[in-house]
Amino acid sequence: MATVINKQKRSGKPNLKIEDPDQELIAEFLAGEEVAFNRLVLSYQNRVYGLCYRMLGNVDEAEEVAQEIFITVYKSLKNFRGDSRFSTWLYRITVNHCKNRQKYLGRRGYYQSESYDQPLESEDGEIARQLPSEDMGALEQMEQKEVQKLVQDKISELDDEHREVILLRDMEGLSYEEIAEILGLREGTVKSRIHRARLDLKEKLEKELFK
Amino acid sequence: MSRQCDKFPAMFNEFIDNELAPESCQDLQQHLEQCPACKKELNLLKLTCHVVQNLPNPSAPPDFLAKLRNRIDAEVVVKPGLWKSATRWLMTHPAMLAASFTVIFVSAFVLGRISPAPQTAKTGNETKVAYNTEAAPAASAKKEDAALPVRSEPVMAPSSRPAGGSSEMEAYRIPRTASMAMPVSYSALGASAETARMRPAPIQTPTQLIINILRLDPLFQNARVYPITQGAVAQTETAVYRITISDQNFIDAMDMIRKQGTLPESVDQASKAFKLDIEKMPSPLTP
Repeated sequence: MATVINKQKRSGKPNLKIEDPDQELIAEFLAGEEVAFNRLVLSYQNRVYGLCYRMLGNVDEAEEVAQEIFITVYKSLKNFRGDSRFSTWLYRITVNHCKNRQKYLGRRGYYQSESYDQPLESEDGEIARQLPSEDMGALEQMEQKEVQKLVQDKISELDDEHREVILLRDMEGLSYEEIAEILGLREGTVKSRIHRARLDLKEKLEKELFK
Repeated sequence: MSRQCDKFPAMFNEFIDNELAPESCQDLQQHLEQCPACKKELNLLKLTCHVVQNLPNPSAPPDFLAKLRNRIDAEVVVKPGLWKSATRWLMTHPAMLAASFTVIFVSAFVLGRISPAPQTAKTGNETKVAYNTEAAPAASAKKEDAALPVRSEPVMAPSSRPAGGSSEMEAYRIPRTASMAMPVSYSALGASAETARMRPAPIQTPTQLIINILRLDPLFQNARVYPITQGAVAQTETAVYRITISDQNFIDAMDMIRKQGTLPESVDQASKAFKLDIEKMPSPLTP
């Protein structure tokens, strides 16, 4: 765990025991309580599935990979050393499974949505009014679905490493530190990747969405 | 864009993430007031983050946990080492493979004819045989399952609970006595495993919980029970009951059951202790 060691050297703090809200459930599961595992799945299934969906761009793939991820967790929890939070470990497994799946599917395996012949207008980059809200009519909701599909397509077009960081940061809301731990990178590398990823995505969206 | 603009775009990301040092923040904000180009760029970047943040997060499908549990039951074997080495041995000796298939087929046929209902002693022996010899039992497990009419998909290995040893083989036996015969419906749960498992196994899914309660309930002694997602359908002479429990309520129920140490002995008792969804419909059998 190079990242962790570097952090220690820099801050000079001792390696404190990590506070993990899932610790108890894990202990119960390892002691033989299958229901504890079920609980873990229920608390994380949406997050894992959602991340898989955004990484892979396809619901069937997302479900398949999400299942495989939890099977890996089931088999490997006994080897989990607790030197990171369970959620960090789970995210790492998720990212790795998705990467492998992406390689297997080939970069163009994502499904592409239909073309957009009506770029949505905006001034000065104002597109906030176009994002979905409950009081929108059916037609507007359809437009929003189009927007979402477009955004997903553009995310799928990003480089793998850019897609990873932008989803972990802007979708999952994880800190630079956590992302660094998950991906096994230095925080500085994470920052610059996120910077690059956002610029890339902005450029892609600018062509078709922001006017 | 003035020359000053060169240094500011590099700050945008950290600014958006609230990671920019206060002095740099001030500098940036002052600059933005005077530079519409940079202001626009920053807004576009913010918007990009915004659209990603606001992407709807699709939830996992409702039977995700159930499907996962079935896969775990099917794939995670008690002694994977033995299984792997046995199959590898088999695959490299095709003649043995052919011979063992014949042996297995015949023994499955014979065993199927002579054994009346699952009995621990008898199946215990089979299980011992299964794990002591090498090639034959691995294939035997496979063939045994193939001989059963209800399996719809190929089975790799006997299902196993980490705790239960002897219950593995009999889990796939359909009892031959007529009164215990259960119709099997194919649902997302891999129903045959559920139906065949007539003895109290550790409860791990909502369906198992409901089925176990139904077994104990005197009202449902003669009912035909069909496992479904999250529960079961029970058909008595007078009515058809559709009983289900959500994953969250199932977890609470199992907590309660663990603390009490016993299962509720009727659907009625169960529904008082935890939340069940019960639908009652008139039976198609009554005139």
